[in-house]
This record gives sequence, structure tokens and C-alpha cells, in this order.
Amino acid sequence: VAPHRFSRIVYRWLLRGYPRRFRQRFQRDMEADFVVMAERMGLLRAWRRILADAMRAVPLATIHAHEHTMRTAMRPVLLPGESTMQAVLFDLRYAVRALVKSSLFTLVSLPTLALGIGAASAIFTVVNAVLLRPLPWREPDRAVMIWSTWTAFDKTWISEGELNAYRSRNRTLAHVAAWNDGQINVTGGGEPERVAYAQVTANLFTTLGVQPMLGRGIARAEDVPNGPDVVVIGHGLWVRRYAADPSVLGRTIRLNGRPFQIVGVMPHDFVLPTDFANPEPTQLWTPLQVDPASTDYGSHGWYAAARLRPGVSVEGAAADVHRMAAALTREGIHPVQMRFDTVVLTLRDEVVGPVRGSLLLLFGAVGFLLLIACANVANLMLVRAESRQRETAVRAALGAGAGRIVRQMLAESLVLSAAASAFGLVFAWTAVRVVAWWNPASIPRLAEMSLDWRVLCFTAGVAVLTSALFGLAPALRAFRVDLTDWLRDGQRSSGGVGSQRFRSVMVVAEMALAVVLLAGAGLMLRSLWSLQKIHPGFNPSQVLTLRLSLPEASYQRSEQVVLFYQQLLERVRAVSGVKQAGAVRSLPLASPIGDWGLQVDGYVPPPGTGAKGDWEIATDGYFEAMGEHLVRGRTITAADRSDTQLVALINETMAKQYWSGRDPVGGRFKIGSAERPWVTVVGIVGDVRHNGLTGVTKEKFYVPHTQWHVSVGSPIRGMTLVVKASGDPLSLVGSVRREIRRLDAALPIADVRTMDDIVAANLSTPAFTGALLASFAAIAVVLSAIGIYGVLSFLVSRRTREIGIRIAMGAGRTQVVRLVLGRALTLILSGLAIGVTGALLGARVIRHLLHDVTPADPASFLTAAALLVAVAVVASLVPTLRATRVDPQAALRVE
Amino acid sequence: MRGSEPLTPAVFHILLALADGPLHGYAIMQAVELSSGLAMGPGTVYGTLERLESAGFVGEVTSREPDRRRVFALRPPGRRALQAEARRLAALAALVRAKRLIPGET
Repeated sequence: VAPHRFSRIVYRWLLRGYPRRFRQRFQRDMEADFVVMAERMGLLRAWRRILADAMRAVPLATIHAHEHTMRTAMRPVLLPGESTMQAVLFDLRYAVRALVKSSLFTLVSLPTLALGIGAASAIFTVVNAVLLRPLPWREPDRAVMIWSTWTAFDKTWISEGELNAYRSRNRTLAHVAAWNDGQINVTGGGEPERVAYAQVTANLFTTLGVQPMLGRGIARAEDVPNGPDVVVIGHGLWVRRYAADPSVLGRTIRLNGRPFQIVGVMPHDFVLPTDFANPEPTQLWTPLQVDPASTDYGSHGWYAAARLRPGVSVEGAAADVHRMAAALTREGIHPVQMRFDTVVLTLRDEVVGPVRGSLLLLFGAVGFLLLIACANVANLMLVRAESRQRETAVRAALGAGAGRIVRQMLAESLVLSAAASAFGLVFAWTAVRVVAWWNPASIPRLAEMSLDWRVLCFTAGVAVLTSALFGLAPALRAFRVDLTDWLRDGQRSSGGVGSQRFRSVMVVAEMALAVVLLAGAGLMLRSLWSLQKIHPGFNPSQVLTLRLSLPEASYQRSEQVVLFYQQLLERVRAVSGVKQAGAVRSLPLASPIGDWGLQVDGYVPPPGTGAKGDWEIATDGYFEAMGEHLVRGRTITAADRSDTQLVALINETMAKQYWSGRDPVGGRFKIGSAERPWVTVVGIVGDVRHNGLTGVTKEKFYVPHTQWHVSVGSPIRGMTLVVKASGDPLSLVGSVRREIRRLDAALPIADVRTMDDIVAANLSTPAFTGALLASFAAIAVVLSAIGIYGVLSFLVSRRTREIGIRIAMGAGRTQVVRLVLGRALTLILSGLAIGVTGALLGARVIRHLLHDVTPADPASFLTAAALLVAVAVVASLVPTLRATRVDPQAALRVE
Repeated sequence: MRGSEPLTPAVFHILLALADGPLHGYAIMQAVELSSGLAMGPGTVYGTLERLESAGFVGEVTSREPDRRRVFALRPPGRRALQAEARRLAALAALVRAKRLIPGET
């Protein structure tokens, strides 16, 4: 029987009071010790010592066991036999635990970062969809669009003669293709519908580098005057109308009543470069049937694209095209005064060029926002690192190397930014939904936005980068604490001057970035405001528009066309809720208008030029329905018939241009050649913004729809109905449609829109950019307010003792306020100065995005500065007030 | 526990006991009692050893004892801490001596 059996049982029971790890390790030794002690000093003395010992040792061992995790974190960079992976996993686990523990820090920094990363990811999603995703053409940087430009137009169509010239004279182009577009009525084998279609040259598909997925393209032999009626159809139409039936090839489709044979189907992602941003792209492609002998240089109505020969640069091709354009002028084909030239853009620049500037601006702005978020979190990290100085010092003292500690802090920032990225992606997803719902009309491909792998990679990259940005500086700073200070007295180190400076620099940087964002947003909003202030020359409110086109097959004669519109308008005007109704050929701000050469009675054009005017065709009631302003004379009335005097209205620009000093009302002009009849001016209307809200207004004339076929020739079958409502214009759609059906049940209706929507669509890019920039700026201001609040709060808590002493020495509230607020103002004004300088330099970059606002617009800058100073001062007031309430006695007792 | 920081008596005496070579727990207890008169229990010894081990001051070595008791040895950081403490005590002792506080010494 072992000695002291009972004592050993009791002793073993006592050992259970020790932590398990400790017991497992030392129980054997402790039992053996107990036996030896009992033998050497007697049971009673042994027990006395054991109990006294346990009372001290058990709590210590328990605390030690609880601190186990932390102690393991104090290991050197790698334990013997520990893999890097294990060490990294350990760091990450420890980081998660540390972040969960300091919930206030996490609660502030996580949303801040999530907002920054989320906004960046959302904008990147837009950039990705619009700028980075491959375009639906082969090598879009090796094919160009060719436009014409002359004094009247910045960028317009080419003529048949120019196409032939470019085809035969170029030295750099492999193919030169052309097309026009319009809408056509599709009938037979289903509902009648109105589909966008284009007449294209046979080589267009080759030029764009896209082949039909089914059948063939248009053959060269079909692309000649009076060639056969064949058509290539789009994937969408094929699926919708033919249920993706492959046997569709060879079948007949009726376009405007004429039979066309289907010869091919294009792949689903094929669009013409001119349809890129078009929600209803062309779906039918018929031969353009160019006359290679044509010398028509006057009618500019075609788009043109060309593929470069191998080895030719875009610049080389552009120079070649400019050379050919210059030759046309030299040869007398275009008058010198016309200053005819070309605009050559790669397909990529053509389709994304107009929005690239805005998107890159937003991308830059969101980068600033992210930097501000990083600066804020870096500050928070630093405060936290300082409050954890003791932990860091102990770990350093216990042998954790600098590398280990920095790595641990970086692990924390990485975990933080990873979590923020997860939230940020949710935010980005939501933001992308909102953008898609908003769907600014002028930005192409937004419908294709998705959080694809590129976005995920981007977000991951941003997360790593930001964690380094906001984590590294505080980590390095934190390690510079004076270890001996900490260990000697276990009190807060009195230092921190350096970190205070670091935080100040962060706040100044935040302020500066916020000023730049605010000023940028201010400029964009001012620009948007001045765009909105532009009077379009008509009243868009409560106006419904919809497009009709009478098929030639059933409305062959001009009288039929005229009669149809007259009857339709009479019926529509009788609908209750309709104030006035009219129709127009080219709707302002919705479809571009081109010009027609004129012979103006009594006007002698300068040598080499000719009179010209944009040709508009309108019915009676149009001016009233659209709210266009009649300056003098009268508008078109129902009395203007094909058998009455030929009349026209002109706009103010045309009146000034060709009748300067004379009275235009009663004046005459001919449209086109001299054989045409005289048309008498009966009224002058105000200028209307037609081809865009900005840009020059050109000469324009209006001819009654009833007379066009007399004054010029063929009737105008396609017109846009303009209906002024007394209430909600969209509520009239049903009844207007019913009236159209009653006249012609087979007639499709297209482009049902209100004029307000059309005007808004013209402002969608600046509105989109302005709204996003403004929200970024708002977030930036809030973040920098948080930043300055944090720095001042910390300053006040650091200097409580000093403030206490000052108050005790008789300093009044004013002096204390001056102390704290003075510091705040130093930070704010430094940030402001740097920011304003940066913004002034940066604003020049966005000059081309601004309308009627100088990049150094004082109003925008002053507002930005005032707003930021106001918000920052308000944010500084709380810590300032806290400083004035310092109780000197309490402050002096604190330390 | 670096440089000039004073060590607690338990730590100092355990480190001192290990200065001559590796020992098991009970031997440490005896040595401490001999050098300081401190009556130390096993909980304090093993608890302190565990903490010192975490700090890298001591380490467990492979036991050559027949009863496979756990044996601990001083590590270089522990020796440095001990030396620092010894210097501190020596300086203190010199001060005490200079003030002629110990009777019988001249």
C-alpha cells in the first residue's frame, strides 16, 4: 500500500483547480513532489505549504492559461517546424479575434472602408462594362469610322461621291464600307412591326470583321443599283419572329410591303457601330446598292467605316483620308469656304470616346474617395495601435520581432479590408442595380454590367492595396514605441508627437482630397445647371411623341400620305385630354437634321458658298403642340394645301443670315435647284436646339407637310406625331394608338416618348456624372469630418492635463477654445489650400466636360471651400467644447 | 523583462537555481529554499517555469532522470536577464555597503 494514499487522493482532487493544460503537463511531477515533501517534512507541513502555494499559484496559472492565445501570438516569426501557412493562418485568426474585440473601432472603420471599396467596385463595374469589355467587332482599333466635317457640321455623314472617291483613291484602307439607317415596317408571317434597319454595302460585315452565323452576307453582285432584294437579319429578330428557325434562309420577308429574300442571320452580339448605344439597334440589313459611277457629292447621308491595310497606323490612315478630302476641295468639288474635311476615329473611340472622359473622371473621383477612406482608417488604426502599445511592448519584450508585430498588424488590416470588400461588393451590386435602373441613355452597354471576374479581381486588388495603405504606416509607427518606458512604469508613454503629426497629415490630406471632389462636383453641377437652363426653343412639358411610317406599297401617291396625316391629326385632336396635335419629320433633340441647298431671292452668297438650311417638314398644329415660339407672321395652318401658295417658315438665324436688313416675311426662296418653284416666307419662329442642347444653331426652314411633294418632290411618309396633353401625356398613348388603328390597323407605332424624356436623355451623361460626383463629394465631406473630429478628440484627451493646468492658471474659455479650434483651423486651412491648388490644376482636365463654366469657376470653388470649412468646424466643436469643460482638479489627478 | 527591469523574487531565484545547470521541479524548489529561505510550493514553481518558458527564458530539456521528471534549463535570454538582475543587486549591495548599513563590515 502506497503511503499517504488518502492524502494523495485529496491532493489529486486539489490539482483539478489548476487549468487543464497545466495539469496535464505537470500532474505527474507535482504528485511525485508531494510524496517527497510529505516524506521529508511530514504530512502536516507539506499540506500547509501545498495549500498556501495553491492559493497563489492557481489564479496565476489560470490567468496564464487564459492568455495562452495571446502568448502564442508573441512567438517569433516562425516557430521551429511551423510552416509559413500555419503562421499566416494563425495571424489571420488572431486578427479576426482582435477586431471582434475592439467593436467600436470595427464599427467605424468597416463601413468607411466598405463604402470606399464598394463605390470603387461599382464604378469599376461601369468602366468594365463600357470601356474594358471586348467590342463586338474584330480588332476595333484597326478599323475606323470616317465622318465629314465642314463649317456647318462638326461631324456628319459622307456622300456617295465621297465614298467612291475614298474607295478608289485611298492608299491605306483595305475595305471602305457605308450604310444608312432608318425604320421599316415588317409585315407577313406575324404581327406588323416597325424595325430599325440599315442599307449597307456588301463589304460592311467584312470591314467590321463579323461573319453571319447562318447563311451568308450580302454578295457584291447584289450591291449594285437595281440589284435583287435580299436581307440579312439580326439574331434578335430571328429569335423573336422566326423562333430561331434555321430554315428561315431563303424565305421571304415583307419590308414596307416589298418582298425581300432572307440570306443570312448575324450573331447575337452583332451591332453596327452606330447602334452601339442604341436600345433598339438595326435588325435588318439590305444592300445599299451604291452606284460606283456616282458623282453625288451634295447629299451627305451615309455612315462610313474602313478597315486598315496591314501595317498601316490609324494616324497614317487618318492622314490619307484627310489628303483625299483636301483633294476634293482642290479639284473644286467642294467650295473652299466650306472647309470640307474628315473626322477619322477608330471604332473604339467612336463608341466609347464620348463617355470615356466622364467615366475616367468618375473613376478618378472614386479613387480619391477610397484614399480618404484609407486615411480615415489609418488614423483609427493608429489610435488603436497606441491604445494597444502595452500589448505591443509586452509582445516585443517577450521576443516577438519587429517583423512579427508588423505582420500581425497587417494581418488585421487585411482582415478588415477583406471584410469591407465583402460588404463593399454587396454595396457595389446594389449600386450597379441602381445605375442599371437609371440607365443613362447616352452611356452605351450599361445593360451588360455585371460583377464578373474582372470586378472581383479589381476588388481583391483594391482590398490588398488599401490594407497596405492604411495598415502599414500605423504598423510601422506603433513599433517605434519606447519599450522600456512601457515596461518600467506600465503607464502611457508621454510621446506620440510623431503619431500626432502623422494623424494631422492624414487629416490635411483628407481635407485636400475632399476639396478636390467638392470642387469637381460643384463644377459638374454648375455645368449641368447651365445645360438645364438652355432654352431648347420649345416647351417639352406634357408633350407625347410617337413615330409612324406609311409603307410605300399601300400609300403610293402623295395625296394618300397627306390625307392620312390630316385625318389622323383631326381624330387625335378630338381625343379628350389632347390640347393640340401636329406632326413633324425630324423631332428636335431626338433625330439629327441635315441641310438642303437654297436659292434665296435677293441674297447673293459670297463666292464659293451657297445658301442652305436645315429642312423641316411640319403639319398644322405642330408649332402649337410643341410650343415653338412664333416671332412674326403666322404658323402653318390647315389652309396651306397642296393647291394653295407654297409657303415656308424660317428660323431667326436664317432670317438674320439671308435677309439681313430686309423683311423676310413675304420673301422667297427655292429648295435645291433653280427649276424648283418659289416658296414664300410667311412667318419667323424662334431658334430651336435641334441636333443637341449645345452647339451652334443653324439656318432652318419649315415646309408644310401638305406642300413638300409640290415644292420638292416625293412625299414624306415617316413623321413623328407631337401631341400636347392637358394632363399626363402618357395617359393618351392608348387612345392615340386606337385612332391610328382605326385608320390603318397594320401600321406599327415606334418610339413612344414624352418630350421631357427626350430632353432628359440629352442631359443624361452630365446628370449621371454630376449626381455621382456629388454623392462622392458628400461622402468625402462626411469622412473628413469624422477624420478631423477624431484627431481633435484625441488631441483634447492627450492634452487634458495641459488644458487643466491652463484653466487652473486662469485661462478662460476663450483661450481654451482658441487652443483647440486654432489647431483645427490650421488643419482645415492647410487641407483647403492644398486641395484648392490641386483642384485648380485638376479642373483643367475636365474642361471639355464643362458647359458654360470655366474650370476655375469662383462660385464652385468658394462653395466647396465654404462647405468644407463649415462641416469641419462643426465637427471640431464637440471636442472643443469638451476641452472647455475640463475640470482642472480632475485633470491634474488623472496621471 | 529586458535590461534593467527588476525581476520578481520567485523568477530571480528560479533563474538563479538553474544557473548551474538543468534541474527538475523539486530540485529547483530545494535550491530556492537553500539560496533564499523562500518556501516555494510546486504550483508556484511549475507556474513560474511555464511563464518563463513562454518568455523564452527557460526551456524543457530531454529528461535523463530515471523517473522521467520534467527537467528545465536556462536559455540565453534568461541568463541575460539574470545577469542584469545580478548587476542591479550588486550595485544595490555596493550602495548598501557604501552607506555602511551592514553591521560588522568596514
